[in-house]
Amino acid sequence: MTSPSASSRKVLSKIACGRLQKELVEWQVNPPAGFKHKVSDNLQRWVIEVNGAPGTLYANETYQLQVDFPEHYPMEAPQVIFVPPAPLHPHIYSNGHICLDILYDSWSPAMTVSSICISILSMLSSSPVKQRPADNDRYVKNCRNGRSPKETRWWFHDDKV
Amino acid sequence: MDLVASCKDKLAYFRIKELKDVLTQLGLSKQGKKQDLVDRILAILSDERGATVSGTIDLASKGQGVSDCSNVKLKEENEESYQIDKVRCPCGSSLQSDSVIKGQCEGRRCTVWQHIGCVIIPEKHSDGVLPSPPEVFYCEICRLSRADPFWATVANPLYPVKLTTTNVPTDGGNPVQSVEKTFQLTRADKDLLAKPDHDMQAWCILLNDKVPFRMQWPQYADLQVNGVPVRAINRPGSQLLGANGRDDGPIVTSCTRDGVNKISLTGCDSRVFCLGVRIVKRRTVQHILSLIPKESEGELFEDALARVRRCVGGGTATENADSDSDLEIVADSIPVNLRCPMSGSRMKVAGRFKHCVHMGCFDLDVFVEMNQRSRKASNYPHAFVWQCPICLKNYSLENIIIDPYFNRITSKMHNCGEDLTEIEVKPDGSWRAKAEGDCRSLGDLGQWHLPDGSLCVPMDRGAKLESEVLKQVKQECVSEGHTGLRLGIKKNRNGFWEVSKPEDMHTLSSGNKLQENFENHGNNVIPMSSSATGSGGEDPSVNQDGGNFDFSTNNGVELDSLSLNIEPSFEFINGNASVALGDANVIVLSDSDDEVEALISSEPIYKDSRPDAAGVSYAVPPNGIPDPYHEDPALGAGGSCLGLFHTNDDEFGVPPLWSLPSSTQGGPGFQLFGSDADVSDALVDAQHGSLNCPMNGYLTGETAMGSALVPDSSFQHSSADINDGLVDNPLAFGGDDPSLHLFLPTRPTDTAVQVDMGDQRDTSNGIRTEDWISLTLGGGGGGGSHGESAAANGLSSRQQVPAKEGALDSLAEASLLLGMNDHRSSKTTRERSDSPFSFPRQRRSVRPRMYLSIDSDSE
Repeated sequence: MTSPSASSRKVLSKIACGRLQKELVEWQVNPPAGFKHKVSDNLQRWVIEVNGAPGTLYANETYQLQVDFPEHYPMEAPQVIFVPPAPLHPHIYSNGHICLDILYDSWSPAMTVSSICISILSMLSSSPVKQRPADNDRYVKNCRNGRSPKETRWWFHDDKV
Repeated sequence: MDLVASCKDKLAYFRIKELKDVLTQLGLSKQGKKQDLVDRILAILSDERGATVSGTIDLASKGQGVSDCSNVKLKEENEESYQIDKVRCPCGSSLQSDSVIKGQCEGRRCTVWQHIGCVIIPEKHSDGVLPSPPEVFYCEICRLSRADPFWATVANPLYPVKLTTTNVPTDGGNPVQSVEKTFQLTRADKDLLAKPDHDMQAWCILLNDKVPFRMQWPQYADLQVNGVPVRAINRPGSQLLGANGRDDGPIVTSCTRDGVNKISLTGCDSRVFCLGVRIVKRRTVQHILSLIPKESEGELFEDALARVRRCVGGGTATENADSDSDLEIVADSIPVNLRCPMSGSRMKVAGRFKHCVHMGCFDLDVFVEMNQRSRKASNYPHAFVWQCPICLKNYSLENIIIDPYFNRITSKMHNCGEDLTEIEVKPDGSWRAKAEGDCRSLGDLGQWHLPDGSLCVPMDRGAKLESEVLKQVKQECVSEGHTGLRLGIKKNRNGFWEVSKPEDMHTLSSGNKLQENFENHGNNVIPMSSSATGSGGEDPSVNQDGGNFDFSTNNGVELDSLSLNIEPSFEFINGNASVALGDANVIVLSDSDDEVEALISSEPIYKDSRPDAAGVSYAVPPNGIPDPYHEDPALGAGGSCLGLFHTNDDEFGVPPLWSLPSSTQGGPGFQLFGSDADVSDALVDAQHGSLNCPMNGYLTGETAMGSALVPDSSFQHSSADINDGLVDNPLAFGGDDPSLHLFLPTRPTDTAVQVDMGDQRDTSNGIRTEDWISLTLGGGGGGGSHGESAAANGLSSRQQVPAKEGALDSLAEASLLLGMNDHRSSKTTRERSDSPFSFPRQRRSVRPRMYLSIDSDSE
């Protein structure tokens, strides 16, 4: 096992820095609806407040997303997790890990934090039921050493939620 | 086994020379003791044998006869119409059969044939049936070479060999598979490895990987070279590679030695892998970029344009005719972002993968560099493969091209501000930069461009317009008995002033020193006033230091003749004159006192601005200036320096007034009247070159826009006045001489139009000192632009100036900026330069100028 998110601890590359600054500016000008970036001076870790969309199971609920950027962002996907308590959702584990393909296999460097947020909100909004994934306990146990969700081999089986 | 044993016996009888002969035949090293030579031969023999056996099995399973290698070869050569270059199959057999497949890799270059049954592994097993070969087949070597272009294969000490399953667990778990091979490192190989950037690399490929161009190691890979364990992958042994992840090949140079090396790989995986060893050379980002075809070679511009049209317009109108075209929503234009999706910055070189259907591009340099950098992290599960960042299709380096459509646009924006990232594209492919706020700052780029990057200017119409204008001018001249002055003067890239006439342009050999002088703006400024009162006792000094040159015309002189004569007569009095020119950048036609007075009405408007050096900007539409000046007779008379060319009937009648070519030199160039041809050319060429050339008080921001200095009809009215005013003026021309003259102090003045160098200088100085008025000419509506100009005029803030300058510096701000200095600015410059000359009348001449250029609406 590799140490947890070892590569994301490395300092951002120059390209990554430039890109993130651009994203931040873009975010300030045009933030995705329902999200709020908590200001900090840490470019490598963004904490984003998520408000459940009105009319959904998560309306009036607020969660926090933690986005960690690897050295070679955006070539590599950022690590995105919910800061516990994570919303009850069939694809969100209690430790905050999110089973969402764009965060892993389907990541593209053309995606942005903003587009990730929208995807996550969409995932929340389309959930018909508030519950944990079936394998939650097993998975969370496996992750006890604090390993990154990026080291999980995810199986993206559900394209409805 | 018997074969090896018997060979071993026989080899024992060989002498060293014979052994060496054998090794020579095998292409192996002949170095070492006798036993080494024997071992080397035996190693080959055992490999060959194993290959033969597995090949035999292979063929047998396909119902083919078991045969000896050499037999098959003979047979095949007789029977097959095609020449099989070489069978190299990861099964290890070089047997040839019907079921071989040739790699299509790079078409000609790869000549390898492989057994279909060995290398084509269908997802579902269907016993006894050969899988159908894919349309495009790449052998492992060719896949490998595309997997990571930053490694170039130099040699292959061990060609790929399949791992074989050694132990199938009964519990249904993954079988254990392994391979153990020896490979020879020759002296040549060693020499290669001694070179910088060369290394020995072990590699592994999943034979039926859906991502063909990447390495992939089996789960729980255990790699050993000469008994030394080497870490093949960083990811957890149980973890599979993601769809856009990739493995790398470990460098094993330090584990290898001369002669025979042993490598073994064991994994626990049900899929079919093959292992190889190669010598690689590192490539740099620059090398990779150099492998990408040039813009002109990657894709036809027409193809790129067709793609853009398809993406923007959804096809041509005719194609949609049958469908429910009335239900279609057709946007006039759609916004396209030029940001590189990876860097977030505007693309510098627009790259794409050849077969992508979308029109989105990425920054080529960023893409390659990111790929290189992320390689180091490539063992991380989700590192990147050569993949289009937009559609996520997997490609290889050879598919990258430069998008000829977007690259023209991005290169045109090269000097623009960072924040300019969006363009609008029409379904026909024409485009313009999309203004976030102030569209004027975009200048030329904010205007519609044809797909090829040229400005959308109806050429024929413009030409017609010109001719009409010309005719008009001529007619006026005839009817009123006055001369129309048309001077085309500009500084070309070589630093020469050019005077153009409609038919052609003459280069004046005056400008040699201009270039240097531009650097020293403000130091040598000697404002010279042409007005009668102002020029008084200072004229001599003026001439001496500053040099004047006037362009004069007689009444009734035709334009053509005027320009014809320009060349011979146009000279600078002395070296200083050229200096003056350099500073001045602008040639101003001076006017008389009377004219100034005539302009009084406009004064209030500018009063405020003058002291403060106001910036006045007009927006100039690409197509010309609707002629706001037309109705203003005072315009021509008062300013006489700027002829705003107006036509009554045509929008395009007024070409952009001042053309400022070549900002690259920083040299002011300006065209006081471009001939028709010039104007249109200038418009066409407007794309390249931004110029921040201070001209006569007129700065044009970007490239040359056709500028025209045409005295108005009103000009002639003023000419009489001018003459009066010029009594004291040393500069004069012969009455009959239609040509431009340098003013000689003693010459009589006739009706003349003076070009006052002093004024020019002032102007340029003013610009330098930021005391200038920038005019953006243009604007679709004359009225609207006038209003703006007035307002801007009133603003008269210095802070504006730097901003304007900044704008000038960037191509993006392509609009014409006419910088005019007011008298105050000239004063300033004088102070700065310690010029001994004071010009009481300067103010006047300046005023009219301002009035001319700015004013038409003010009245």
